[in-house]
Parts: sequence; C-alpha cells; structure tokens
Amino acid sequence: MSEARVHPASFRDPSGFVFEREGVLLRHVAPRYAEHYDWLLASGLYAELSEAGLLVPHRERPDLESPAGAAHRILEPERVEFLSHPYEWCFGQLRDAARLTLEIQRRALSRGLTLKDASAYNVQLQRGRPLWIDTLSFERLTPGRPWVAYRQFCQHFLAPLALMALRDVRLSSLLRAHLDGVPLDLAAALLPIRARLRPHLWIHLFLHARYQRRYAGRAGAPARELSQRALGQLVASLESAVEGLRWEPGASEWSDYYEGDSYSERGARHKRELVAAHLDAVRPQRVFDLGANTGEMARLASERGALALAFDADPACVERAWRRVRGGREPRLLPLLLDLSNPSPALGFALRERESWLERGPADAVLALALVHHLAIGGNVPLARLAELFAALAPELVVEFVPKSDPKVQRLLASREDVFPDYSREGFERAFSRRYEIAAAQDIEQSSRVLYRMRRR
Amino acid sequence: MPYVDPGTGSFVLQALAASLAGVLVAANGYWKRMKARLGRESGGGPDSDPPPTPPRD
Repeated sequence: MSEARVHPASFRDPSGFVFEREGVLLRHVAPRYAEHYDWLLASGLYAELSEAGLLVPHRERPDLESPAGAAHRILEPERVEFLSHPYEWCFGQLRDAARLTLEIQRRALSRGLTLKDASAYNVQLQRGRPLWIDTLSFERLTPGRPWVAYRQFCQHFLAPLALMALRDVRLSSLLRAHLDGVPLDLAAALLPIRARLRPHLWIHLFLHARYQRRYAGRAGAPARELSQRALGQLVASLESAVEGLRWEPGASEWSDYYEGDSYSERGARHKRELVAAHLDAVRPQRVFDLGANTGEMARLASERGALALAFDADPACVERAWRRVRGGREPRLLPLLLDLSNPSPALGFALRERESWLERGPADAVLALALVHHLAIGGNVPLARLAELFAALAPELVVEFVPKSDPKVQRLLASREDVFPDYSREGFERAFSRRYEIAAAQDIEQSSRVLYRMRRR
Repeated sequence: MPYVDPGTGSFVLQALAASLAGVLVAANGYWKRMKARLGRESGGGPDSDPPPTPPRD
C-alpha cells in the first residue's frame, strides 16, 4: 500500500481527518463519528445539501484502507480547484460564505442535525459559489443544547464583516492574525459607536463580547436550554445581522484603470488580441493573473477553458470582479485579494495549517500585465527578483514592459528620485533572460508598452 | 461530539439572544404591517418587502 500523507491542517477534529494517497484527497471517518455520519445520510440532509450545490459531494471508498487503523468510512470528496483562505476574500466573498453557513445550519436544524463548527475555513469558493467542504461538521441535534458553533460564527464571519462594512474594508487582514476569527472584544473596540444601534449586531457582537468577558474564568456555567424554534430564531437573527452589512466598492485609483490614459481604444484592443494569441499558443490549464484588476485579461484565459485566478491587492477591484462572476456566472474565473509585495504567508500551528500563497502554485502560465512597473519602481523590487518570483510560479509568462516614458511611470517617478538606471527595455530583457527565453515581443499599438511571451529555461 | 470550545459566555448568552431576536423579529413584522397598512391608506401599492431570506443568485 502506498504512502499516505495526512494533511497538516487536519488534526483538530477527532471525528476524522483528511489525507492524500497517490494524489487523491480522502477523508477518514472515525468510528466515534459513525452515528452522526449515518444520520447525515439517513436524514436526507447530505442529499439535499449536495444536490443544491451547498455541500461538497463525495463518494465512499470501501476499497481503500486508512493509514490510521479502522475507519467507519473512507470518503473521496470532489476536489477543490484552488484553495483560498478567508483573508484572501473580498467583502462579498466573505459575506456569501457567511450566508452559506447560516443556510446550512437552517437546513440542518430542520432535519435534526446541527453544525458543530462554523469556521470560515470550512468554506471554499468553487465555480463562483461558496461551498461547504467539511462533511464531518454535522452532528445529530441534542435537544435543548445551545448552538456549539455560535461563537465561531460570530468571530469568523460577523465580526470581520461588520468591521469591513462599518469601519474599513482592509480590516479583513485581521483574519491573518487571528485564525479563529476576530476576537469579539477586539471587534467591539474597533467598531464605531453607530454599530451598536443595529439591534441584531448589538446582540451578537457587543452583548456577546460582554458575556464572554463575564464568564471568562468560569468553566461550565449552567446555560438555559434552547428549543429548536429558538435555535431557528438565532439563525434568523444572525441572517438579519449579516444582511444589514453592505460595502460598496466606490471609486478607487485602480478600478478606473482601463479607462485612464494608458491605452487608446485601439491600443487596448491590440493588447487584448496579443494576450489572447499567446494564450492560444500556450493553452494553459491554470493561469495566475497577477495584478489582475477587475479580471478583464484573466477572463481571456477562463473563456479559453483555463482556471484563471485573478489576484489583486485592491479590495474594490476584487469586489467588482466577484460581483460579475458570483452565482456561477463565470465558473472558471476566481478573483482573490493578494498583495504581491506581501502575499499570504504560511500560518497556524508549526506554520503548517494554512499554506502560503506560493505553496498553492504552480500554475501553467502567469500573466503580469501592467504590473512590473508598480513592483519595480513603486515597490523598489529589482527586475531580476521579479523574474525569479514569476519563474517560481509557472513555466510560461506573458508580461508587459512599461517604459519610463509612459505617463503611468512618469507619475510614479514624479515625487521621487529616479534610482532605476537599469529600468529600460534592454535592462528588462537582460534581467529576465537569466530565467527566461523570450519567445515573442511586440509593441502595443499607440503606446510605448511592449508585450512579451517568455518560456522559463 | 463537538470539539471546538463553544465558549461559556456564548452558551449562556444564547437563550437570551434567541428571545431578544424573537422580539426583534416580531417587532419588525408589526412595523412592516403598519407600513403596509399606512401605505394602502394613502393610495400606495401592497407591501412588497421581500422576506429576510438570504438571496441566492
């Protein structure tokens, strides 16, 4: 029997764990979880949720053995195409994940089950929709018992959504620092006074923080029972709290980029044709578009059947892109929040629970369009290091060089010293030739920009 | 068999939270019916507020 690799993040839940064998992702269901798994199926909840596209479908593998002794079942879930983490989501993505969680809890309650955890890491974005991936999150409802996952829901979803909507959208980065969600006392301290005027929010964040503080030292204080109806009211109230939180992208310096002074209409069209031709030549299955803005170029890849990840550091751009693709409208395009100068690191226990962004590669091709000058001039990153980064991600590269004469670069240099003697077309080609062979180079019409296709050596 | 720490405070709060929520929902329903009735009296159309279910595109 070949080597099985237990997933490094899969250790908290005694109900089972995730492991990989020969490239197949599998889930061990522990015997102690048997009753709950069987009821998940028998109650009809699994069928309902998987058919509605809310829960990841799986098939049972009675032919396989677990690396950890007797399993009640071994499950093979459908694979997630690209793993993303809540701190890489825009407001709309986190909000959709929150809605999914509550809808699942609502449906579970109606069939005599409940969620025993409500972590944002149980949700992945697949084909333009949030998807619950932890099949073992369900347990048989114990009559009267309060919702065990209530605290987690408030910390993983409600608190960050409130902070993003009512204080600053960039506060989603708190989720990088707090892997079990934003602590409620921290959220309460950061939210504006007017947040307390929202009744449902007041209950689940502010009153909740107070109760956490009051009972902090005390284990096992008696809690009143909740009827099924009360549990349903709790869910409805959380739904109201979530629905009341909105965030509009508004104007940002990036979202109007393509309307700006970078390209004439003919230039923009020419660039699009060139990129499309390169994609047709390379035929990648998986494309990383770095600095993707609202995903216009990444769309060229997804329209050609590739899975296109549209990474951008601007929350407004990712939000706009998500609004176009969500609901399964563009299943092959996934926009995500990522700052290339400080991408998602490895996090969690032993730094192995949440993979860094680099570990979630490779891709077949990288698009680096209208990007290099921001990193090289705006970010002071040497061109050779950019080449190293792109080479670590994929063997093929479509990259746009923006020279100093370009108005955008002029703007970057306007208020600073020009310390970039090697930033020129020749310097660019020299820096990249160390790692890449230049397969094509074309001037973009009516602009001074050059579009390259390169293949890693 | 839950494994996460539900939080003692979170457990204790829930019954209260659920009843407060119930009051809010009832009050909201009453408010909506009042609005609808006033709207009809001044010649407006029937109340067209959608129920508060999460929209799924």
